Amino acid sequence: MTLLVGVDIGNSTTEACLAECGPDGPRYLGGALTSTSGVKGTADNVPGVVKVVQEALSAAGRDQHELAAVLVNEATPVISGLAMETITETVITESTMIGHNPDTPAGAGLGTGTTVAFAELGACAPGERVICVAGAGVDFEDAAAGIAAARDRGVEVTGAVVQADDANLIVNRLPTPIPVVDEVTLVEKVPLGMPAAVEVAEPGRTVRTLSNSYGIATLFDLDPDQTRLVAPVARALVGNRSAVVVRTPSGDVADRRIPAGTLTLIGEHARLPVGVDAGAEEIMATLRRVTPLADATGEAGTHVGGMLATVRDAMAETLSDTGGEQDAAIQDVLAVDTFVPQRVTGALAGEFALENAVALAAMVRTSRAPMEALAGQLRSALDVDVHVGGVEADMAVLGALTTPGTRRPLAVLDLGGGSTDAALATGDGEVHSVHLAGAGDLVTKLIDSELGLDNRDVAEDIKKNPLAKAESFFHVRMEDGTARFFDEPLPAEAFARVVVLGEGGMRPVPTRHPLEKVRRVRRSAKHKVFVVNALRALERVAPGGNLREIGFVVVLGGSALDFEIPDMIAEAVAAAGVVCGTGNVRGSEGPRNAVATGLVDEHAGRTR
Amino acid sequence: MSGVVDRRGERERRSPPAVVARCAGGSGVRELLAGLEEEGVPVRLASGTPTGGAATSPADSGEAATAVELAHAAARASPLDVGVGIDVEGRVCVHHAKRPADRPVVTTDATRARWCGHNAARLVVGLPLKEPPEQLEETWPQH
Repeated sequence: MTLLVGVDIGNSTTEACLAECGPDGPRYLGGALTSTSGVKGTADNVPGVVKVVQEALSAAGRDQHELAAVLVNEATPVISGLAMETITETVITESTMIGHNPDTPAGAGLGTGTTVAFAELGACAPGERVICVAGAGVDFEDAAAGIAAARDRGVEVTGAVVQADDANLIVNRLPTPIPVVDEVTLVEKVPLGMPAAVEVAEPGRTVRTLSNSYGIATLFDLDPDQTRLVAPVARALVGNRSAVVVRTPSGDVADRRIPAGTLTLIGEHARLPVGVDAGAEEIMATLRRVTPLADATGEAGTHVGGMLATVRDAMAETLSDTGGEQDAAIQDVLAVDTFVPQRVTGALAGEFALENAVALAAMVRTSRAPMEALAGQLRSALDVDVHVGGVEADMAVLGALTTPGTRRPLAVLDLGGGSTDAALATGDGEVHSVHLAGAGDLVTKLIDSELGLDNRDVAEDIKKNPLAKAESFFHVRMEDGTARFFDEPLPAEAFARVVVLGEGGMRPVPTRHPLEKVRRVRRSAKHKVFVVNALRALERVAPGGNLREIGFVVVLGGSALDFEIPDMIAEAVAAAGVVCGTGNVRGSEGPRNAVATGLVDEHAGRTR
Repeated sequence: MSGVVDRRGERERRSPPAVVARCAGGSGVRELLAGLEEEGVPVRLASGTPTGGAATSPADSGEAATAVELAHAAARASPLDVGVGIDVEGRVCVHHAKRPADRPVVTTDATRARWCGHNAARLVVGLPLKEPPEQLEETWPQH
C-alpha cells in the first residue's frame, strides 16, 4: 500500500487528492483546496502546494512520513489576456444639451426662450420669452419670487435651469408652474443669450419633443443639414424625464465613430482581415474561416492595435516570471460586443452615453513551464518523491470519468478564469483537447463595464450571487420573487437598493439600474462568454465537428460552481442529444479536484 | 376620572399621512422641510419634546432630549413610520419606527438638514438614500 497525493496547480486554486494505492486500485482518502501562490507553473507555487498537501494529510489523519510520492501535472501552457475599447464616442463641443435625469424635476411641459441669468431677469423687457438660469447660491424662495415678479411684469419666463436640487420648491411657489430642470452641476457653463428649450415630462413619462430630431428642428427652425447635426442630441435624450437643449451658433454634438482598425487573423492556410467595428459576430465568423489560428495582428495606430498590444504586454509580464524569451503567438481570440457607459465629453451635468465597445480576449500558447525546477524545490520542501507527469487535459478526463453515470466517449469542459478548455476522450483512449480564450475574468469585466461600476470586487459578487432588492429595513425580495426576512435591521445604505447576498454578507450595488437590468447584464455576459465558448470548444473537439458524436459532457472548473452557467450550457447543447451536467468527481467533490484525482488514478493504473 | 377622554391619540390617527418632525432647536428646520417638499412627501411639525407633551419622560425633566430620541418618538407618531428630530444642539436625526430606538437611519448636524429631509422622504417612497453632500459643502465657501 502506498500513500500518494495528486496536486493540480491552477491559475487561481491549488487542489490536492490523497489516496492509498493497493493492488485493487486507488482508495481515495480525501482532498484539499487552497489558493495558488504566485503565477501558475513557477517556483512561487511551492508554499501553496506544501500547504494543500499538509491540509489533505491532516484531514485524513495521516502523517507526512507515510507519504510515498507527490504527483504534479504538466501545467497547460496557455496564458490569456483581455482588452476592451469603445468604438463610438459622443462629444459635445460647446455645450448644447443637458440630458441628465435628476430625480425630481418639476412642472411639466415645454418651455422655449432665450437663456438669461437669474440676476439679469429684472432687465428683461415685457413680452420677451426667456429661460431662467439660476446658479449656485440662489435660494429657492428668492428664485421663485424673482421669476414670479418677472412674469408679473409681462416677461414670459417659460422654463428654468437651476444648479441646486430645488425644482419642486421653486415650482410650488409660483402662481403657475413652469418646467424646471435641477441638479445641473456645471450650470455656469450654460451659454447665456442663446435660444433654448426646457422640457419636463409628467411623472412616469419621458420627454417627447427634445428626443425627436424634428421636434428640435421645429423649435429652432433648423434646415435639413442642421437637423442632421442635432440628431445625436435627440438620440442622447431618449428615455429621459427632463432635458434642456441650448442652440449655440457653433455648437455641435458629434456622434463619432472611432477608427477601431482592422484585425488580421492569420490561419495556417489563410490570412483574413476584419474590421473591428463590424462587431463581434463578424470577427468570430472570420475566425471560423481561418481556423486553426496561428497568430493575430492589429493595425498599428488604431484601437485594435492598442488592444492586442495591451494583451501582449500583460502576457509578457506573466511570461517574464517564468523566464526565457517567449514567442507570443496568439492562438485564439474571443470577441464580444458590449456597451460601456461613458461620460459625455463636454456635458454639463455629468451625463453618460452608452457607447458601443468590443471586448477581446486573446490566448497565447507558451513553451513548457519550468515544472522541473518547481518539482526540485518541492522535493526539498516536502522531502518526498515528486513526479511531474500527465497532460492536464488527459488528467481532467480521467478525473471526470470518476463522476457517476459517465463513460467514454466523454468530453470535459473546463470553465476557468482565463480560458475555457475542452478535451474529448474517445472510446480508444485517445484525448483531443483545445484551449479557448475567454472565461470567468471576461464575464466579470463585461459586468463591471456594462453597469459602469468600476469596481471589480462588486462585479465579481454580482457574477457569483443572485440579486435581491432591499424593500424595507427588514426584508429583501430575491430576483425570483421570493422574500427573505432578517432579524437585524439592514444598513441604511442598502435601503431600496439592489443588493447581492454574497459570502461576505449583503452588499449594496452602487448603481441606479433596476434589478431587472443588472440581472439581464449578468446573464447576457455569461451567455456571450461561456455558452459561446462551450459550443465553440465542443465543436472543435467533436469528431467531424458533430456534437452528436460526443455522448457525455462533464462541466468542470471554478465557473462550473456558478449557480446558472452549467444550466445555460446544458440548455444550449440539449438540442444535440448530449448528456451534459456538472461533474461530481469521485462522487463527492463536485466539479473540483478532477485533475488531482486523474493524476492519482493514472499513477495507480501505471503501477498496477 | 371616567368621562375624561384623551382624544389626542385619535386625532393623530385621523391626521393625513405625513412624516413627523420634532424640532427642539430652530436651526436647519427650514432646510429640512425643503428637502421633504422637494421630494413631494408631506410633513407635520410637532413639539420638540420626545413624547409630544402627553407624558413626561425621565429625559424630559433633567436634560434635553437628544436628536435620536426626538426622531424615534416622531417616527412612532408618524402614520408613515418615518420621523426626524432636531435637538437644541443642532444635531439632526432621521429614524424609522420599525428600527431599534438606538439605531437610527442617519444622524448628522444641521448643515446637512436638507439632506436629512431628502432621505426621510426617500424612506417613505422607497428610493435609495441620497449621496452625502460632501462635495457641495466643500465648494460652498468658495462662492
